[in-house]
Amino acid sequence: MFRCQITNFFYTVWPQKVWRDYLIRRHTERCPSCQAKLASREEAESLLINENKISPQPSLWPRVKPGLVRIEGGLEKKTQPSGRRRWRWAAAGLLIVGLSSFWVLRDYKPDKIMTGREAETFRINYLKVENKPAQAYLYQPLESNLIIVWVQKST
Amino acid sequence: MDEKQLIEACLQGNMEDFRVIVEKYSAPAMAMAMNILGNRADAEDACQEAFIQVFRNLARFDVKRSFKSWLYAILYRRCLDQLRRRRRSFGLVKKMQLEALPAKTRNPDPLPEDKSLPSRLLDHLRPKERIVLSLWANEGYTAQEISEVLRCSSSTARVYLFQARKKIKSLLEKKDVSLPDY
Repeated sequence: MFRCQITNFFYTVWPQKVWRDYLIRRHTERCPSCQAKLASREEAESLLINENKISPQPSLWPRVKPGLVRIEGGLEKKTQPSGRRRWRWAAAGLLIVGLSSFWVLRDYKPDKIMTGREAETFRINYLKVENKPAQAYLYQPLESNLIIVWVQKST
Repeated sequence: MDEKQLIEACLQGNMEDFRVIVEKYSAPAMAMAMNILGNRADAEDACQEAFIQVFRNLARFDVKRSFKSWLYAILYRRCLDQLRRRRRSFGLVKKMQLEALPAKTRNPDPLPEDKSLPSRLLDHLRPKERIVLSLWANEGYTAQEISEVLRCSSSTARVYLFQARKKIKSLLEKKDVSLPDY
């Protein structure tokens, strides 16, 4: 009885399914006292509907058939998984786009890219403000050779 | 003709063979759906949708698995859809009924229990618990088989089953319900 209470406590305290499953397998399934607190198969069965209790017996075919007729035309295609078909179409589309891009762009030479003169580079090694190391920022407006150096005290 | 042959014939486009499948599984599928949904009309809708989906996806069915479990897995999803639809429309319908009916008819006498429906006690269970209980009690499924239908781990299935059995037992004891005699 004490073990049942301990198990119940741990079952309630930690609501993780793997842990609860462990407790069920470890204790509840083996403990007659805990089993008595669970509905038996017969009790559950008496509350449920089973196929023999249904009256009148269902005749679903007349309801299902019209739905099948709608997709029947595509039955042959249906036998192939639609996911695979989708991937085939996507791959074919990509191939076409890739080939046409190659065809269009093969003689294209961009004229706006600077190929000749590379931008001059420089480096600031060390900057001081009031005899203390400072932070430096470089700004260059678009399409301009002007470079602004902003220096500020480091905090 | 066994199940595998029937499925292969269906894949060849033979609709008559699918009819055999539908007729074979109509009753168990209806029982399962009624246990989850609690009424026949919704159960018929769910079964209809499930069988159409089965037909549409038959090529994906792995013949090594149990066809019945696969059907139940699809049916369970369709039942959940039905419940979602019902929940959405329930509020609106209830409001309309309350506005339309005269005051004295608002609380009609409860209907006598329909014995071709599952017990009202099952209303206290969540859909997952209802299907788990139904598979366990009606079909004799193990936690492993139930997990295949629910697409969850067997640990989870075992916990759902435990909770369902515990709830049912406590409701039976609390209300001292005499079990219906079908």
